[in-house]
Amino acid sequence: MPTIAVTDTTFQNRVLDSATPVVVNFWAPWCGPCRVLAPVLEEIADEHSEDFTVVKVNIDENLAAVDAYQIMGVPTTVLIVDGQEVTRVTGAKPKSALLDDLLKPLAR
Amino acid sequence: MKRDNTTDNLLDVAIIGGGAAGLTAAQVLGRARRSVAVIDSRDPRNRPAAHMHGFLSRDGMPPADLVAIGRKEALDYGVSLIDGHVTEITSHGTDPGFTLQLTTGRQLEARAVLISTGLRDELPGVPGLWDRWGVDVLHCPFCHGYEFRDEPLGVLGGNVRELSIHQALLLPQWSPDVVFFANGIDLTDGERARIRARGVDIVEDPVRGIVVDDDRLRAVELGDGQLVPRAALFVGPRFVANDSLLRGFGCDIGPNGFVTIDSTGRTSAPGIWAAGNVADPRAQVITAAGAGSAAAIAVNGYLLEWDVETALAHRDQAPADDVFSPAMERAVSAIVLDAKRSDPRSPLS
Repeated sequence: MPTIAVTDTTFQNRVLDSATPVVVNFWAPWCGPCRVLAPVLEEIADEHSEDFTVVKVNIDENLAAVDAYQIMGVPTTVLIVDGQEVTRVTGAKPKSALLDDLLKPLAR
Repeated sequence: MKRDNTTDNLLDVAIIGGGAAGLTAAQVLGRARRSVAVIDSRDPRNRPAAHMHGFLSRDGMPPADLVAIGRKEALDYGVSLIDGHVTEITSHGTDPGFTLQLTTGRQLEARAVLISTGLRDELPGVPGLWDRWGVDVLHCPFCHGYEFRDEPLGVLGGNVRELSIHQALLLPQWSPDVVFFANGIDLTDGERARIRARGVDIVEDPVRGIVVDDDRLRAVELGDGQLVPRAALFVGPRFVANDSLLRGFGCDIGPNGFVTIDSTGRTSAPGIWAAGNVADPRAQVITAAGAGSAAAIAVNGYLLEWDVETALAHRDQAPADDVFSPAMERAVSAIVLDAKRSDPRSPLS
């Protein structure tokens, strides 16, 4: 399953009310590291479609979400479970490192 | 007597540097009918800036236009404009006045010199800053902050920590979203508290560069690859005065590293004045112009005193060809008396 674009309008429904965990990637069109991370996120979305969904938020267009999550930089990737932030990873990381850092609390 | 300004004759005033300070001084002195030359390298500090602000009636004017108009006005008042660099100023030994050596090999003689050569900005070694300098990498919030009001702003720590910390405290006047990138500045707990109290986020991670896309600053890039979105970045440069001529002549330098001047721009060297950024790192365009005007009038006063002394000396020498000199008066009286004695019916009787 590919990643889904989420906006300020759809954030509540797609992320906060989601029954499954959601990986939210905050990105920007001018962000080189975000472009590097994009195919990694697609792979993760494909490979873990039963564990969680992966959504993407363009920070230039969705200021409410940026404000709510105090996103200072991009790429920032946040794992949200039951509407609550669980982990946060900043920067572009290789797939295994990103997954390790994001899913650490779930692995226990 | 009006001198020919286009030759290398003795000038009343040589003005080195044709920015706001130098051209204002040139206009004032040209209108005072002094013989003036402005020697300018045509490389202004504010060249990258598209607009200037804080100059009454000229808000938003491109700085290059101000200079172009100022040059034309100076020309109209008989000021000579010379493109070039002055490499050295030497005095005429015991006589007042100076010789200016130009890179072209030409020499100029001037009774007084006003130096308005400005300063240059030294930026921290973060790649890409110069490409955006004066556009969205800026140093002066009073000059450019308003255009970026309420936008995400950054302050990048520079070579002068006091200036950078001051900027971090100052920028919230223009926007509620300010991030201070310490960029190696080691903040004390007190400084950190003061900056945070102003609502400024502090990032102490290393700064790797800036991100520009579609001719706009987009973000500051941190060492871990994270990009922090910013619309403009304020950087406190190290201000380096273009004062080699002043130092070369032995003018006193103050504790701030800038040449010591009085309120009219007079340096410690008689006959040499300095105005604008070369002597005052805080001067904006209008301040520099004002300093140029004040210096021009002070230089004129210095020349006037010289003119009066010269005139007095001239009078005391009582040259024989002066029809109203005391010597001539005595000679005429003697002739008249002689004539009366020798011939009572003379028309001179």
